[in-house]
Amino acid sequence: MTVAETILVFAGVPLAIIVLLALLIFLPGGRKRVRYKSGQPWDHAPIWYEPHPDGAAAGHGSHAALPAGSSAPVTAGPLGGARGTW
Amino acid sequence: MTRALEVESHDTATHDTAAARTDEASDLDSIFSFQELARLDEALTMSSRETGLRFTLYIGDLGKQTRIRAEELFGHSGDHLPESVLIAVSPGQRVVEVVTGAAAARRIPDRACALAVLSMTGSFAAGDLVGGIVNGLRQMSDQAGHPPALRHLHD
Repeated sequence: MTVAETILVFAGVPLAIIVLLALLIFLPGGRKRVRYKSGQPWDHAPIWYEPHPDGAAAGHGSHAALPAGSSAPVTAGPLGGARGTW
Repeated sequence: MTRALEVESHDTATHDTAAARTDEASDLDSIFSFQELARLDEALTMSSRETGLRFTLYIGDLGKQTRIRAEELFGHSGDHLPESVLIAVSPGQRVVEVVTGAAAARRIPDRACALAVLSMTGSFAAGDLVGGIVNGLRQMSDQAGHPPALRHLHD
């Protein structure tokens, strides 16, 4: 094995592999959604998730629509709950 | 309070049906992946169906006075306020607030809420928003149980 071949095999091949992996990792467009880490600012618009209404399968669920015309605000009574920080 | 969806129609709507949800906005998965959204959806829906309470989840800023803001949001969360539970998470402020209506508070006492909040904050601190929310929902719905009045509907 000549000197050139030795360098090519023992330096060139590892280098090629490293460059390939680096390209795969750092090439733009791979991952656009940043994963939340504690302490990061939250720049997204507020969003509200609701459960699916009881569908046809559930029939008359407990969340049947209120009859039209009941415009009086429903008071929730004394509220309970809890609070936490991290 | 939900963000206005940008409507970009691909004419999937027919005379009798609405457009496909995926056509309503192109960035539905900008915060969570579709897999995480499915987990949230299932957790919210199943705990609501199981308990007969209405669990909703708000993720966003809660202002300076987080408790007051959360209770204000709770007031807008639907028609069945006494049976509603709002989980308000503000990742930017690192605060989570749970608000329960009067009837819900009898089934999920504040102590149980605090326990669920504790398990949520543990996951949130590790960066796992969805996992924490799903676990908190599971704890609260376990606490609320399955009322006999709902039993004939789902059995």
